[in-house]
Amino acid sequence: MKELARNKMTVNIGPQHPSTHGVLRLSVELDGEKITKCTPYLGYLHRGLEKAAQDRLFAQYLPMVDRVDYLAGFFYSQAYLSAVEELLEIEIPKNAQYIRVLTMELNRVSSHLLWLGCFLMDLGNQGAVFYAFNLRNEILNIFEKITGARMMHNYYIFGGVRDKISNNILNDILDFTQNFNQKFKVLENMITENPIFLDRTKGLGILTSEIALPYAITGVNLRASGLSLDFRKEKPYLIYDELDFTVPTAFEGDCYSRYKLRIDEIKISLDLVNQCTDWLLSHQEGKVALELNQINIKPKAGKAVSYTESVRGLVMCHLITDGSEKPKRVKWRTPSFYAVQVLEKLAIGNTIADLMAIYGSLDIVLPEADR
Amino acid sequence: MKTESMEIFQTLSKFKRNGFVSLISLMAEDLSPNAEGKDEFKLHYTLYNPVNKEFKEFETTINNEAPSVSTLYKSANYDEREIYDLFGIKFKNHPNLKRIFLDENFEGHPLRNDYENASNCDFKANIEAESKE
Repeated sequence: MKELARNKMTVNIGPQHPSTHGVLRLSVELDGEKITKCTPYLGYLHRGLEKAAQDRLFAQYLPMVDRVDYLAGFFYSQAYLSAVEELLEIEIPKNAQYIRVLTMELNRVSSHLLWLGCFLMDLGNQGAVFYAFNLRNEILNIFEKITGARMMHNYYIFGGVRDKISNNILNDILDFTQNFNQKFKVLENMITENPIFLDRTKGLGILTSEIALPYAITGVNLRASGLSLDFRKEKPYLIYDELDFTVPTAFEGDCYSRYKLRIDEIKISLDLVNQCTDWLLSHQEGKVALELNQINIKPKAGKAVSYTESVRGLVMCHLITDGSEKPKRVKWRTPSFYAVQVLEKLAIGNTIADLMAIYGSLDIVLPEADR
Repeated sequence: MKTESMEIFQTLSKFKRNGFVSLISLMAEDLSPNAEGKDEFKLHYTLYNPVNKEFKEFETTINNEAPSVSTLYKSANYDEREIYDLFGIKFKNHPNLKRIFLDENFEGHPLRNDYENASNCDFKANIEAESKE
């Protein structure tokens, strides 16, 4: 019998696809069900945020910074402000530093919860997303009380934060963290030991450190490959060196270990939130911002680079100024930009049904990749 | 210019041999027009060594061309495409030097100092051309 000719087929996925969390187009070349080539096309969410900085005052650019990654806006505000504050040669008050860490760590939990819900939805578990979003909603309610906004906060200002956190809200946060584990257990029981979930994630999409390092992967994706690179420890900023926390790592580098690490990170972040809340409750009298004219910000000419460990990895803000009231160049180094690139490599050899599981486990958020 | 280009590649391959296996960030900056009235750009490379947990910054000025380091560092592939897209710097020996964010028919490179007109891109013509294919 003659063998059937095996022609390769090209399938286009996206740009609008429920699993892409943003707008990404993938062009996938298939041999039967196996992927032989995967090409991502970026740019559908490109808003020119680096160009926009050059025409605006430092203060005018600040509200746009939250939008680089709208799921983790606090981290980008921190990255931008820490670069500006370095050139302004100021140090922000201790209370403001604690408030920034508190809000960032809560933000990390909320972003991981959204990721968890969506990741399970990609795998076909339609129920889990409601539990995850319910928990996330409680965090967004706290953010609304603190900043007045649920997602794009614009809460950090030059030299501190906009407002104090009252004792009532701090007690709400403590309530939330104390009850979190009990509520989260319901969700965790649905997944961690679930045989279908294990079958679909264990041993899939293995990202070894030999691949991860040349592809400049950072964050949880790198820590799942056995390297403990966390910029909160590596280059401590704000008051992270005064807090007590560990950095979990795994060695398998597959989808399951990336999932497991994110769950561990949620718990560590909640512990950090508790530490900050306790400190703030006993130091309510301190100032939360320096007295600066927020509109007339003029850093000295020079270059500053800030390192921030965001939810998805390393965020760098390169800031170059020439002594005027507008930045000369702002460059964002965003972790998702590199995670999209490694998808090209990880997809090869897997089936098309597993592509979205691998994609989901990398926690790629497209507005961040496209800027 | 040619010898200078080779130097960038050689310096970075030396760094890589010394354990700096990760290029965590690559940034371009427009300095043109320089003292002679010509184009000049600055490239900032940030490297990471996971063994000593050490960071290294390497800066270099170029005219309009630079060697691609995507054979040394895989992550440079997209970084260099981004810089080509926004600055128009050509990277020699790059495997796939195409625009990454903007439309193929977009005219000019928006982050250059000499970029002015933003409304000269005919997206409609592009869509029509694509549908004819």
